[in-house]
Amino acid sequence: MIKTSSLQWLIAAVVLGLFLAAPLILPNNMTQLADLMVFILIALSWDMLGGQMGYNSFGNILFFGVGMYLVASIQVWAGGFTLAVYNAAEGGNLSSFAVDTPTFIASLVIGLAIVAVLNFLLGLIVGSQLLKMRGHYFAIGTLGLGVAAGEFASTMHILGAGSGMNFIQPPRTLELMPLLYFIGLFVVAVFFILLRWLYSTRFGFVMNAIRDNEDKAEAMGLPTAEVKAFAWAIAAFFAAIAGGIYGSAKNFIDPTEVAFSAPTIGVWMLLMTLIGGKGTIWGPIIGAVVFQLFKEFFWTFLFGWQRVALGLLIVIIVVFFPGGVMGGFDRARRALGFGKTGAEANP
Amino acid sequence: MSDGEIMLDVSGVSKNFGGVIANEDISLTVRKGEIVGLIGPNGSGKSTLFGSICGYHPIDKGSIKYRGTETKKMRTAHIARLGMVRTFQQTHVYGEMDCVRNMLISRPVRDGGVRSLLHRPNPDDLTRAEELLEFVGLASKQHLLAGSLSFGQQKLLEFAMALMNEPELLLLDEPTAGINPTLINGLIDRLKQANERFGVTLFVIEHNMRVMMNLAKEIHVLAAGRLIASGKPADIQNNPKVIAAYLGGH
Amino acid sequence: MGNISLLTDFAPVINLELIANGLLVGAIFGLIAYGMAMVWGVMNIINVAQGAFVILGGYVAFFFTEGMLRLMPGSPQILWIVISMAVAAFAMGLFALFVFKLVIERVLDRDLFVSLLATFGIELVMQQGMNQVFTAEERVLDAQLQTFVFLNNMLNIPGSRALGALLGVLAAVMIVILVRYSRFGRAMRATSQNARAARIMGIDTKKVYAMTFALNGAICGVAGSIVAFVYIIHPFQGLIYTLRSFVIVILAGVGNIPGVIFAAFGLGVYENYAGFVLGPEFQNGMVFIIVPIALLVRAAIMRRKRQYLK
Repeated sequence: MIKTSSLQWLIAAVVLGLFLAAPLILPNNMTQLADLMVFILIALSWDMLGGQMGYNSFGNILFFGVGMYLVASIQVWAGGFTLAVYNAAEGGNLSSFAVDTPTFIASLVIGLAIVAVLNFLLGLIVGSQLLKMRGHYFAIGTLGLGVAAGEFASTMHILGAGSGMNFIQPPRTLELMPLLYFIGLFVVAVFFILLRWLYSTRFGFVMNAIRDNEDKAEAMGLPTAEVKAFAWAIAAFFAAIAGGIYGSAKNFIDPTEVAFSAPTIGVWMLLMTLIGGKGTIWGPIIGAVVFQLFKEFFWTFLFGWQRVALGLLIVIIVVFFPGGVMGGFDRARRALGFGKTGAEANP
Repeated sequence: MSDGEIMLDVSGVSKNFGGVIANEDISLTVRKGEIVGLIGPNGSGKSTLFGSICGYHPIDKGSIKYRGTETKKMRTAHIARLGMVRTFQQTHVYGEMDCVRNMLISRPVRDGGVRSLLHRPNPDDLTRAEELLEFVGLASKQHLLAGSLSFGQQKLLEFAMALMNEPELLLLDEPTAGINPTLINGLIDRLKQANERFGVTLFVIEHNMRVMMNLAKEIHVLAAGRLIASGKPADIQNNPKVIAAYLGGH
Repeated sequence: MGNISLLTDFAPVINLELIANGLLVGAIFGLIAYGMAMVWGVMNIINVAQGAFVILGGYVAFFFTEGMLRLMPGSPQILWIVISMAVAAFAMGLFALFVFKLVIERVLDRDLFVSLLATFGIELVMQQGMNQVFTAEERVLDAQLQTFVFLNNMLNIPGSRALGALLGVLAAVMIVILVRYSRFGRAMRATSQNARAARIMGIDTKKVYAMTFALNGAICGVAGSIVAFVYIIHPFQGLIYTLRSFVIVILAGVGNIPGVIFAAFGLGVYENYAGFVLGPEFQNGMVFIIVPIALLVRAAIMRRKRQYLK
């Protein structure tokens, strides 16, 4: 019934090894690699709700954006500056807001940690209310929330309003991308181990029960509301870290294009998970890699039309390949005569 | 009739849905260790009554007490945690998981918190799950997806899941409907065993009169939302009001 | 926020203007929401691309009108604007049919999330596609209508808004008549209530679905042409129309036509007030945030009955 656990860990170790070696193999693609870590984080966190629990959220971008803005702010404060002064300064003057390397790194790492915890709480609060809705109502309700966040962020002058906000410039001697990449990889590894464990506990079973038949779960006494809120809080935790890293890499936050961009990053989380396979632990990871490849391809060769291509990709995947890559593996497995009847939901 | 503790005390319960009276002024009790039946023609409000008892919808009037605690304002999950569990006419199982998983999830939950869930399922649960699947005759199918079972098999699974939940009072909504007639005797037998061996009090809705008479010691009859008769099976069978109700008096 | 005192103490008549303009604009929202509710009711599809259809319709109207004016300079703009409504309706009806055959038909019997995602994908394609083809330049049609001034210059009602509302109401009435009294309308209603029964009765439900979606396209075309001269046409303006429609439909309930009208007017007034009191940069955000809030309110009401929104 359970896939050979040790085989899974072996595969994970190999993949980790590959990722560790990546900076040596692809030294000129550090930005893309860092992005990939971010993508894996948001795909895995989205899948917790959408794939494992059946609550498809278009609004996880909320935590992504909040995380981004907060990390940027924490770094500004660590340098001893105030947000108001910092954001009032015009572009060229930003170099006058400098911090030394230890401060930069410490504020980044601590910032990510703080932001994760805060968003965990935010997820609990928002989740306790929004998760009372089901299905498409939940989906569109979260969409409204996510997009609204962007609009409101655009009005806040202390955060740079519509013109956005810059992260503190990294010190010249610091190689930011590799740093972000390894921080990201570390978080991905932690998240992966956490999820493997979580999905094997009764908590994970309840998540799946909610997906399959929430009424039945309630009728059997399972604390569905608590589980839903807690799951979303965990997803928020990691989405916030992802946002902090992504913003750091881009160095510039635009409220509706980068931070709370529901039509781009908000959809990508979903798309990646779909490509890889909803409700599996490897699905989002595979999906993130495949997506990153598609994205690089589209952005390089279809510039201008890359977003149209992405939209088309969504439609094609949804209509023709709803099971994603893992779904494909499954069909292949069954066709070859292995495996039990039906898809394995969990490792 | 036993003189056991009153598990369920339904008193003056009324429920209407937008003007349609589903239950009107229903009062009955179920005592510990009993097997009590609920019968009545289609549309007489039996499933509605179960729904009211288990918190699926609020009632308009009356009171429902489970072992002395008023439950009419409680949510379904809370009521289930107290020990009163229900099965459905249209089966409700977790279609995308295999039978064993369905069973493991149905382990009793006594507190509403998350912390107690953060453990791997323990081996005792697995043993008990397999035993119960064996008990209902689904042992050979335990690794199949619940959604791929036949209707009758799903009903058996639902019954096993309900038992896994270790209820004190189990409300069964038409447990034999859709079951292959040759298997019904076996099911009746298991229901009795659940009652005698596992000590579960049963409150059963049934259309199959043979099953009902065989199983229950006390039967309540609903017609057009009202309780028209209560008593021993033999008395009910000969009760003119009951006969009239079934022959379409209303 | 000091604007609130303006409303209460200094110039309470501004309330009238906000309300009046809100109602007029609400008429347009109501039209779009009606289309969305129609598709939702008949085939259980939530068209996230609804706003994009509207905007595309607006582009059709814009280019048609501009084109005609170039061909025949000096002719009354208003004439072409009204004709462009029909043109846009026709064009968008065809376009919707095309989208239906290509995508929607294939996701009809899948679960709602799939259709939601599919229409979201279509929205993205349209939004970005329009951005590429038409650029991000804002397009506006000038109906060259005067602003009606009442009450000593205190109550200003732009003529374009009044006309837009009037045309919107007219279109809505025509559609309601169509749905109520035509054979097609009856087939639509039968299908929305019970598709299987309708098929057994001999109704070609596939055709009903296609025509319903096409009709929605036409509605969006009309609405888009109105938006072109009342508001602005811009590629990224689609989503907010979609969300507005969604709020209206969930507040009213899918089958509830009078409710849709009420909710639409209500939303128009609400938006106007939000923009006035908080400032125009808050207007969009306030509309978006009302979606989860409205849902929560509706869910809370239903929770009393231990039900939930399906």
